[in-house]
Amino acid sequence: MKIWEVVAALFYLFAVVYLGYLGWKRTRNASDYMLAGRKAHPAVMALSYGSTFISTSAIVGFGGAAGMFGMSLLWLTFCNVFVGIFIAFVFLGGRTRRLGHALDAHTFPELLGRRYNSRSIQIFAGLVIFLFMPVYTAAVLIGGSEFIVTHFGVPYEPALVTFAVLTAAYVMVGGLKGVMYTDALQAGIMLAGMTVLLVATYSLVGGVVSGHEALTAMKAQVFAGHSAIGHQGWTSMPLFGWGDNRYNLWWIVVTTLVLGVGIGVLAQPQLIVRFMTVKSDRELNRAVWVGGVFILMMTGVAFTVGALSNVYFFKHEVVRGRLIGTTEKADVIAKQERFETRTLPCRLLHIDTTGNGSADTHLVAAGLGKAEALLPRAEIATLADGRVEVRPKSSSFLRAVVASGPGTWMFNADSIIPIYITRALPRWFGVLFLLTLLAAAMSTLSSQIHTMGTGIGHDVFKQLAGPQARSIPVTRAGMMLGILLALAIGYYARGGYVIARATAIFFGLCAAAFLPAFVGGLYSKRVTAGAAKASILTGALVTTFWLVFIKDSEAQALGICNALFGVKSLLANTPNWPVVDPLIVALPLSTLVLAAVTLMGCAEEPAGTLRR
Amino acid sequence: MIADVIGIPDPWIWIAYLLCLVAAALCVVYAACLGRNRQAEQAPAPAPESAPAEEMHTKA
Repeated sequence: MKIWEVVAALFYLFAVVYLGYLGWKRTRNASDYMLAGRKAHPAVMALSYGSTFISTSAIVGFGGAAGMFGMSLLWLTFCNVFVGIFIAFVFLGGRTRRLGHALDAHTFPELLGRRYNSRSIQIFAGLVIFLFMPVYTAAVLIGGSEFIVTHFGVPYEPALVTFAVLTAAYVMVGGLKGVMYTDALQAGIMLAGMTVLLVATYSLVGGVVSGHEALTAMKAQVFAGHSAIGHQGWTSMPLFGWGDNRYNLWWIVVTTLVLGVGIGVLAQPQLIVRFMTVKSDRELNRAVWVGGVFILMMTGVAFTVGALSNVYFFKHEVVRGRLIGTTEKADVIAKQERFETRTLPCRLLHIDTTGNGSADTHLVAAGLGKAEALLPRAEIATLADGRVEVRPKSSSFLRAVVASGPGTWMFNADSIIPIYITRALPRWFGVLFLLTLLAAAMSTLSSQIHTMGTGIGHDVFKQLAGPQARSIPVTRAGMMLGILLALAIGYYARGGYVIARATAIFFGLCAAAFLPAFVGGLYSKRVTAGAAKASILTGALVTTFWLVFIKDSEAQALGICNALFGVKSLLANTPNWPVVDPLIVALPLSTLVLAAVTLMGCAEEPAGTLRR
Repeated sequence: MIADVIGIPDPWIWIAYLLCLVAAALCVVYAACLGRNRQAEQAPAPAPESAPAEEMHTKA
């Protein structure tokens, strides 16, 4: 790492710590700590919402998924902007703000609990958030760590721990005021970084139209394993249909990646509290454009660049350096589940491109045996000075070879963006992008940590122990425990685009469990506490059941289905069902339950808090 | 044809590409129209005083 890179990183960290300190100094009461005093500026609120929403998960994880699956992920960008910003701010934000103010609610579970006059709803929602948010937190941690691993050549585990410790430090004392100040700074850095990334990428691939056309022309380069599940090229939607495994990708992209996150954003606890931080609806209206443009520039750029990275790796990348070694037969992991690992044998090159004597770039030279037709064949030339010049001629997924352990290798979609940034763009941009990712991760992690802490401290402990109980120590202990859980998940879960999948799990769970009760509570006085409880329970239980017993990858990872029934999924032999996201089943069910119980219990007095 | 202008033949993809831009434009127009012209709503009656932050600053 060069001295100016260290100075830039230190300057950024100093600014973050200073803003965290300002927030801490101005934090005088619980409202300050949890809602930034309810007086946030609209631009600060919108940037805070946006930078909390967008993390390394969106940029690295979903960007990598776009590198693997293509521009179909732009539907998620559309959902992010239209649903996550426009619908959320215009149709939910104002009502949430007014209800939150009227009920003096500080957290999302408290808002639900007070709306329905139900302590049990607040406690259950707090518990669900505390137990499941570490999955999403792990996704964000993995995203930042993958970039550090690629850019600085350090092992994965220390990168993971360092990244978690850095972000945990200031949120523990600053509360939401500190978080929102730093969010706004981080959003500015993220905007700058992603703008440069977009311009540089289109420039690298020959412009907007030429770049897209080059990507379309690469259809034949799609990895056979992806073609088998319906990949039709990076500028095409996956094959649509039902009843055959060749439709699996459509269901993965649309139900898990697009709808899971696209709808799930409406019920994100850490985002909903942002609506309660402004003093009037006018601020929310003024914030809409900042949020819309910001999200477009984050996810739109990440997904477009992720897909276009294929053009760079296939047509433009030239790796020059000293050949440190060759693994003549490496079994590189292409898919790894708990009970199923698929490897592709190939010859791997290990090249030192920086001149520091260690291999920093790992490339497939050629596939071996049956994998010969599946893997790219690199063009290798020896230069006059003894170095080698390699053209990998690879798609992004097959270019993203990383060490998964000592002497073991994997194709890792989550490394596509980090490798692209490191290889395609100048070194100075790598530092700017590192700061962008640090900013993206820190702004999201800080809110996640904050939400996990208040979930267990304010919503669970305080409700159980009574209003006089001191919840702050429990909140802080909850934050620590949440971070440790996320670290443990991040340590064990790597590969298989886990970042995007983990994010979708949490977003989908929140949508299925909370969205009907939340929207019903905002828009109707007739929705009863009983209906809300039944809906929340249905959403949470159906999602959990689906993850444990049906959804193939998650059921395998948890292992409960296999232990009980000896199969990796109860629907393993029926095409498509094992890849359908729980949201598709759980959200309609929880909505139906809310409506049905409300209609059945219309004689029951509506939940009382709206009478205030 | 829009497909030629953008360089993406699949209508499902170029429609998504355009909708992203349209959605962001909608946010800008909405904020420009309603953010400026709509009367600021009366702030609700002050919420009950928030509980103290429970010695978050651990001052002596």
